Amino acid sequence: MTFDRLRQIVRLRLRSLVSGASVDRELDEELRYHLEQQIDLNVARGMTPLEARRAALVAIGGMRQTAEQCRDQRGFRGVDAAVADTRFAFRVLKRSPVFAIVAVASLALGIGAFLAMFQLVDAIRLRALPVDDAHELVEIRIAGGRGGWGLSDTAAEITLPLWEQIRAHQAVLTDVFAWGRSGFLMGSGTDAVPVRGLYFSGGAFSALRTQPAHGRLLLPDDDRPGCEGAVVLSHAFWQSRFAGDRSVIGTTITLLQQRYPIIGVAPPDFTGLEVGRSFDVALPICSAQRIGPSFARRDFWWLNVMGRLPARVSLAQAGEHMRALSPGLIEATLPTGYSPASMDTYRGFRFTAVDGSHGVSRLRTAYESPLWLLLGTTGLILLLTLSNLATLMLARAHARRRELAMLVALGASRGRLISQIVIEALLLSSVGVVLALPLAIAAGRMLVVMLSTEFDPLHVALGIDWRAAGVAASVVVVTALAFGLLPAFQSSRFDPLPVLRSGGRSHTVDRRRAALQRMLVVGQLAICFVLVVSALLFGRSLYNIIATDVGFNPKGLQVVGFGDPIMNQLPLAERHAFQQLLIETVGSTPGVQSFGAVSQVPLSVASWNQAFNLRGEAERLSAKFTYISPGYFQTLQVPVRRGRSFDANDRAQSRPVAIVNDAFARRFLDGHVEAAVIQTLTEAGYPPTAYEVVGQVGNTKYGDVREDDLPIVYVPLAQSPVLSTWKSVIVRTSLTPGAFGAAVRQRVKALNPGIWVRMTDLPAQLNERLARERMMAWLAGAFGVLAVLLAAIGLYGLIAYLALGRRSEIGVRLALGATRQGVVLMMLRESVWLIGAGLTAGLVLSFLLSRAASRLLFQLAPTDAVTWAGAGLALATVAGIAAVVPAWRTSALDPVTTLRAEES
Amino acid sequence: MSRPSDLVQGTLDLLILKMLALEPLHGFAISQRLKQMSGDILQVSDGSLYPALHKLEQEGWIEAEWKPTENNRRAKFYSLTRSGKRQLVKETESWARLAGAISMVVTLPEV
Repeated sequence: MTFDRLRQIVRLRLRSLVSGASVDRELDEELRYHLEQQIDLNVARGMTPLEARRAALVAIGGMRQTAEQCRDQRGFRGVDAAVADTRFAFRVLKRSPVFAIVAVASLALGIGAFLAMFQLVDAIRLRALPVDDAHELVEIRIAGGRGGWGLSDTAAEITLPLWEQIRAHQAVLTDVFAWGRSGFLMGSGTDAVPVRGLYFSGGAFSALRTQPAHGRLLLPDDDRPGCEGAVVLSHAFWQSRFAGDRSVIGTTITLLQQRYPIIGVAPPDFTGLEVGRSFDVALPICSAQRIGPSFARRDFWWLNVMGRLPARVSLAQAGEHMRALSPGLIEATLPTGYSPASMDTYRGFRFTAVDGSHGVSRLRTAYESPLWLLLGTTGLILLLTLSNLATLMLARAHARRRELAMLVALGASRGRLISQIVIEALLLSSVGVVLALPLAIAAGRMLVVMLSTEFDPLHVALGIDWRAAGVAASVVVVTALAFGLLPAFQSSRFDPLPVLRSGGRSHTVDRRRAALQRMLVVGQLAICFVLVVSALLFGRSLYNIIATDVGFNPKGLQVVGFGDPIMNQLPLAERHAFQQLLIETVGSTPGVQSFGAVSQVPLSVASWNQAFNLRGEAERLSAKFTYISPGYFQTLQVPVRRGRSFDANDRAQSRPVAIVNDAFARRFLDGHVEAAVIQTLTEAGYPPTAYEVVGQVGNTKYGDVREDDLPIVYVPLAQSPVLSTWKSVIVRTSLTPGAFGAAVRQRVKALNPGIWVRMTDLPAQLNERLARERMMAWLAGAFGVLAVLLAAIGLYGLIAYLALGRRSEIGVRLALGATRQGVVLMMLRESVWLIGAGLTAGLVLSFLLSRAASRLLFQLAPTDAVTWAGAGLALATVAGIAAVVPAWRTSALDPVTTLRAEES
Repeated sequence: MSRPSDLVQGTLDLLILKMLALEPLHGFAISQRLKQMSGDILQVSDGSLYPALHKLEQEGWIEAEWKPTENNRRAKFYSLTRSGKRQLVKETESWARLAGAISMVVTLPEV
């Protein structure tokens, strides 16, 4: 193809695209010239002017048709047609606003719900860390986890000595680094505020290829033994706390009574390596040594280790390398003070390498399966919406068939007719998606708020990224094709003549088309049944949890916790005395009815396992050990079943005693509590002791409401062998949390201004721990209602449509004396079949899907008969109403009107 | 499309190109010329002439210009482009081959 020719082609196509009107005018003029010349010629040959004109027109084959054929020769004919079809679609939709609004609104809801869930799944599960070449990141951890071995308050997997070993010996990863999470107190004493901190090894930021927003980030030289420490602020914290003031770099910040220089600010998108959790301050790992010696312990797990995988090494190879190295690393870091069985467990640890590109997330563990389940649910809703729209479009196409027949008669090709209907569908779904986007963003934010708790604020970078945009775009296309193509093919396949002849009113609806709609309605009812069942299941599950007896009365309970860096410096004897003073100070606050101190507050994350023998038996057993002060059972209102409670006579020097709960008595003592002796076995820091059991109390939930009651041994606080942290004080008071908190802070400050106080409203905390269940119940409920609504619209539409097709038949029946009730019953017989088939299909579908939900339900089988019966009844009722209304309305017609309409 | 069935596919294009190779013409003139030249044997309807002209223009083989006619009316005159000339040579050759082949077949002595 020569250049000249190419240029001409491009010029012509552009011209017809851009200035189509003037091209059309030229075409008109050209053809008119031809026509006039031909007429002149014909007249000259002796025809009358009228004959001449007719002959010329016949020869050219009609002005319009020829012009149309010439136009067809142009490039971009498809674009022209699409533009025209879009304009036409707009006009058509404007003519039926109710249909357009229902269609767009249900699409917006369906797509919005789906996109909202997708955003969350995307943010928590799919999206890689905002780090360059995140796919190279791998995490080194113990294969199968450490199973709760040792000390930790996080899901961390590595100790400091192990990190040092790994750094020194591994030879497969480049840029290995460690990081750990820790809470800090900024400022001092009672006025201190908690901030979220991260420890990083010196090479972490360069390994992550993170650039500072201001100042500098941590360097390898910042992280060496005996370091001074340095602080990098997160961008968000720098903005909120320091108002984005750059002069803050170079000043100092006080964290846990230590002063550190601020050296820089991290970039805005860097929120650490844990998805769902951000940080305020980052410090080098070495500075942990300044806070306490426990960070260096061989049994304290507080770090995560990551590195970059070189391109030539596979993940499996790296894992194998770490596995092979493990025995050496483990032998070099053996902890002391543990029983032989515990040591064997430690020696059995083997390292492996796992994909680290998505970071670490506690959130992911807790929410992954609910989120996928909810995404699936919204997918079903979307399916429901689509089939609903398909039904509506089918009914509409039928109602419009006269218009379509006219188009066919005027020469529209089948392809053109299909493209017309599909473009209409595309238009609807595009508008639906455009409306769905803000809806999805708002709903996504609401979900994050629902999942965030005071103690566990959720930081998820939501937003419509390329992946969500891609999903949205494909939803538009799939939607339009799904609910556009079906009716398009159906309604373009007909002979226009009978339709035009019958005046648009036929006696009966095309049977095949109605069959398709019936199938759609049955499918909708089936999906709807699944969603209603899931709504009821999650609602009942939440109710079961809320109604669960936790073993104590949480109403009016408040927890006072303490933080204090000076504690470790006190000698053990003084610690006991000071602790007692602190407890009394809180307990004597006016308005407190009763109080008790405890080492592990029930239903908090704290947990302590202790190995023991029963006297005279060799079997090694394990139970939860909790250290309490005398007022504990009375304050929590835990019933004392047998024997006595602790009192002031149970001192450090007196005979060691213990109280067990019902679960312990049943499981280990066969109910024979009296005179039992519990012999504890050595754990690090806990010397073996023989405790005589002096009483039995009721069960209380330990870590989680959903757990079974665990065996618990209570020991007097005064006889606790360790005092590394202050115990929490639980009080029962009628004061509001605010008033009580202020009073307690004032009293503690008067005692020692260096102690920091944390207040927790126990009922509120228990509530927060049910965030996941509440979310599931609310969302499943909302989706269930939405599903019922959509299915009702679908059924109503179908019955109304079927009734429309039978108007004349019904008119005849009524004219011949049929009663109105009889007509309604006749039409309902059809609906009963549909509803029955839908529910049956739903039953099967629910049964197949029920396993996905079983792990998320509490004290409820996913195939719970009552729930399923309830769902069936509710759905049948709504569907029945949706079917009766249009049937009743049709039977109210005046037979004369319908019959007359038939003749015209 | 209403192409006359007795006109071999592509022949109309060839005829138009050949005609325009002699001189630039407007649509009506081409229509008249076709009827005269072929002695009314080739029945080309005016309805298929114009789509064919527009197609050739889109292909870049002919170009159009608005010019006054002999009786001083404005008309669209088509003329051959350089690539149109090449196309004419190509189509003429293939026509000759086709015509030769067909005539050879139909003039074979019947045994």
